[in-house]
Amino acid sequence: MKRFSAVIVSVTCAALFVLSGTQAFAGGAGEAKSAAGAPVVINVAFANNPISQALEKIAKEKYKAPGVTVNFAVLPENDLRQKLTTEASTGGTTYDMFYFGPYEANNWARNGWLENLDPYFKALPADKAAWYDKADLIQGMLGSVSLNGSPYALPFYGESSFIMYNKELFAAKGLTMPDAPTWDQIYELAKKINDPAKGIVGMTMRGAPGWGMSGAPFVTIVNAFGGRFYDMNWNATVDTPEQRGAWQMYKKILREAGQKDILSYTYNECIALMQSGNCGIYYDATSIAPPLESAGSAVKGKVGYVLPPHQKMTTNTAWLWNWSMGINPKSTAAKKQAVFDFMLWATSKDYVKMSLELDPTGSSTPPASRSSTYKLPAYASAPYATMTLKTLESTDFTKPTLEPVPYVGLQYIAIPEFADAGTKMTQYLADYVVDKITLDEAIKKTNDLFNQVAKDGGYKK
Amino acid sequence: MKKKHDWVFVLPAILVVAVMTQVPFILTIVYSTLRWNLARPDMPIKFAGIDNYLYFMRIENWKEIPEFYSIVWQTVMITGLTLAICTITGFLMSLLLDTTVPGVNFARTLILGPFFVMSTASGVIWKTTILNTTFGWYGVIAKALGFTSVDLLSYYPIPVIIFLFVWQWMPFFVLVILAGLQGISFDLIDSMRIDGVNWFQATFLIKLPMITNHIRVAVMLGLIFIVKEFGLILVTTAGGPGTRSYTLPYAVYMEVFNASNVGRASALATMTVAMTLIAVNMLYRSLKKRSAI
Repeated sequence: MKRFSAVIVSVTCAALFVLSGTQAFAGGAGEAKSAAGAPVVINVAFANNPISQALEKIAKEKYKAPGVTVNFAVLPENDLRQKLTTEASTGGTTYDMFYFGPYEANNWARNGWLENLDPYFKALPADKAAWYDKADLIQGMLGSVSLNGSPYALPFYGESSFIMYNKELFAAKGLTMPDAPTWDQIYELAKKINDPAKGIVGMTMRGAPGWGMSGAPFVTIVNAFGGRFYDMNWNATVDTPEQRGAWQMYKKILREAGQKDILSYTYNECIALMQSGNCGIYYDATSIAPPLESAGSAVKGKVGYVLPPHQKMTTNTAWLWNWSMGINPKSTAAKKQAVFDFMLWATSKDYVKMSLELDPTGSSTPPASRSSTYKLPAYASAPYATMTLKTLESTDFTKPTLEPVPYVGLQYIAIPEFADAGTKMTQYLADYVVDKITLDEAIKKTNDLFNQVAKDGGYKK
Repeated sequence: MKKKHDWVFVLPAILVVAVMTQVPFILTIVYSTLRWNLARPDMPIKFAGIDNYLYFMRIENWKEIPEFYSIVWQTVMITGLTLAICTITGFLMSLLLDTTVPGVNFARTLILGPFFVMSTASGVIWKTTILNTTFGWYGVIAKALGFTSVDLLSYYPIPVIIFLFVWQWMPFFVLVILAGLQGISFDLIDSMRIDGVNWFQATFLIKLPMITNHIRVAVMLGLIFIVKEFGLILVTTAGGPGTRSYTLPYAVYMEVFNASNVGRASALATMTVAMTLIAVNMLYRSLKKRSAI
């Protein structure tokens, strides 16, 4: 009996020691505090792009909610994606608000990793609902983060892609940018502008691997060249003349007329280069334009904006994206409500107006989330506003390619496995760009990879 | 009779140690036999045997060796070369610091600096403020001297990573080897002088054999630390271009955080642990043998 008691005591001691560090013990205490009226602390994470960083800055100064403390984390885009995907899929509660785009929204909502916002909107008092004016949100953007008609996130800002070019450098060389250029024309122009002796770079694009990094411009080049990643039976179709043309175009532009540290360039480095006035052409998101027109930029007022380049496919060659905010369903009720209130504030008309008042250049103002933004005189007169709207209106993410495909998404394939496959593809692309592997090797590796994805994911019957 | 049951009182300690150290590893081994993708909760988790291991190791065509083997080779090369260079430069640096000239203590403190900088912080500093060809010192100096700067991180990723690892870890080797050098008795040094031993003989034939165990300890600890070094790779080359500077820990990270594939990541992690244990064990055995002599 004595022996049995000793065993029980020993096991209990060990179990208590181990359990004392677990969430079951820690979580309960936290909830009780919130319910008792103690301050609610919410953790939110953003990507390190200029408009999101502006939100962090403005929110720190201006967002006031009684009893609520907001902790901000700003992470590089690739890291943010990895962190939040792990967080959502494992039911973590490090972040109470998720920051993501349509690619994640669809999968996450279906998997129950996001809170349905319908009940929150239904519970809004009439005056607050009128103040928020949900109908003013651009419906395509809201629709891209909704499932079965219910919103699972609120779009903070949206973007498409277009060409930005330095009018001064073009004039100096006597060149003209076509209104709707082809990739061949862009390549020729970039080469003419490129002047390494004077430190002038012909063209810049994202080169750092990552499906949302170099993958974004690259996949739209593939689409423009008439390439696709799968046929209707989920057979990989990377080894085609169209795809090869796109791979070669991406490489030759960057190698013959691009930045030297090709693979280190995220959009932040591209923006810095374009802002310095030493770059001729820049293909990236429409939301990149405002920082180019901001006070510290050497190209302020000197940038021209034209439609995204096309090739075999003549329309719908841009990308479509938005950065949206959603609620972590695993957070406590008090935190969820606090996050919803913060989201309402950040995506409201008032925030748009306030950001424009604080920074009249518009570089802090979230574009393409609300129709009313384009009616604000200060914003409508911005040099990029018309082209941003025009590009946004010309995109359709349900028909991304020339030939029919079994997937949707312009710069991505809307399947959960694409985060990994797209990143690996851009790694092969990087390898090819710096001559570590040949085009044949890169194409074969990518084709095998996409076939493996179709098999692993059970898409190919 | 009483003594027979004394083990019961050790049970809490055994359980705690087992839970803290072995359970996570055993779980990793269990996970490595599952088909489990966090991004696909709609696909049931199911037993997959050794499929996850085969996914990395299977060679279907000898002309196309799977990436796993090149990653293993890169890990061995980066770790091996870093250890070798750290040992040689660490020893030479220790010789320099094993003197009594004025200011030597200050020099010893300075040399330890890189060891105390976080690897992610040093990675960012090297990548952006030093090695960047446009904004970094390297680019600016090359331009001023009329050279065309090359993007070192893209074209020579492994030499750059080895250099950065050496920069960061060499001080650790200095710390251990210098302790060994300073442990050599003054009597012996006096005897060497009296016997007319020259510098080369004193250094390589007398001092070096005497501190071999210190060097082995430094190499063994260095191996354990450097093989799992991850932050520096993440912030400098991000494993690129392609997978040219992937190491096994970085591949595990990408498999779990990018691909969300718990099964495959666990298989990779298990193989990494197994390989590291074999290498450490070999070193440890040689150390024990040496001590026995």
